[in-house]
Amino acid sequence: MKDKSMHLSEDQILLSLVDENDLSEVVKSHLLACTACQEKKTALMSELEHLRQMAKDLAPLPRQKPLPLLRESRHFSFRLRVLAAGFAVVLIIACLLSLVFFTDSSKQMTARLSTEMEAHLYLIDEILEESALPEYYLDIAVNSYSYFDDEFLEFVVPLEEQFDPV
Amino acid sequence: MNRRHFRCSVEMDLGLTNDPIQKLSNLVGNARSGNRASLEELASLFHEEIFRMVYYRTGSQMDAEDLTQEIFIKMSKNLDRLKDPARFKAWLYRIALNRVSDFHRKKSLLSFFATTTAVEDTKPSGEPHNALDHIMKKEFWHQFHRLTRQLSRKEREVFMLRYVDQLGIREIAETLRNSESTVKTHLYRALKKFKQAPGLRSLLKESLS
Repeated sequence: MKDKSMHLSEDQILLSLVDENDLSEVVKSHLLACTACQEKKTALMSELEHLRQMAKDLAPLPRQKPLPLLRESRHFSFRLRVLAAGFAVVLIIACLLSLVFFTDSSKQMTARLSTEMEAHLYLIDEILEESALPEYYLDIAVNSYSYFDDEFLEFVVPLEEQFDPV
Repeated sequence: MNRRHFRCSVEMDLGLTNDPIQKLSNLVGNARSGNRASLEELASLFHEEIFRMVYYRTGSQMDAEDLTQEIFIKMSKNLDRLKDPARFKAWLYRIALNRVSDFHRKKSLLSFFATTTAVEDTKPSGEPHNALDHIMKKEFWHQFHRLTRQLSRKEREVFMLRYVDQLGIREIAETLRNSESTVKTHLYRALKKFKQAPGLRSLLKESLS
């Protein structure tokens, strides 16, 4: 607004209604000094104020008062929170304890596993070796049934037809 | 702690301060800590305001009453979630707006399947009124809703919150979770459309004169 005699445009009036601080200093100072522009703004403002008042007056009143609002859920949630907090504390303690135990048992487990692994390796070595069994066991295992000839077996388990019927 | 400071803190605890925002914050704080009387006071403080706000958007007294009750139940259940008690009003309006949006969504869905029966409030206020008042009222709401239909959803919300529900720009921004500049832009556009609504404006001018 270069010319001070010029009035505010419709848009500027609307902008002043939205937020007067958003107007430039020149426009603001003009609005402060110019009664015509002030009247325009006031007229629109009073229309809007009247709109609010009419809406308020012509709206019905609620027939019922607000029902008593119970905050049961809040009390319940408070109790729940206390319980949850207690549970959380117990859980944390349990976790800490289990951590301690877990670290101990892991050491033990590692030791046990290494021993087992050594034993397994020893066994594998034995298997891979030729005639891994001690001599005593070899005597039992190799040709253990060779001395049972047919005659002996016939004696132990005779054939049926050789029996004489009584 | 000196005497004056002690007195101030006691007043704040008891909600005896003169500052309405501080008083409201104290009420909210007490209600959050389980004080039923504070909760009831909060509800009665905002009951009419929220009822009207819902009525402007639904046009039905019965629906507005039901929705208002639901809004306050939701408010009491979710009060713990409110971070800043000073922003209670904006928070409550957000609940209300969301509830109204849900209502309209549900209504449009039901009307799509044609399962609703339109119930008009013939005498909403329950008070005897003459024919002229009735016509005036009908005409006002007709023009009002005609204007709001011309506005976009955002423009309508901003305009109604500012000039009908009388919320400040900052409160509207908090309610709609928009920036203040966005709110101002929508408000400016809505005002432009309001200026081009001859029916409502002539009604308002007539009434003013």
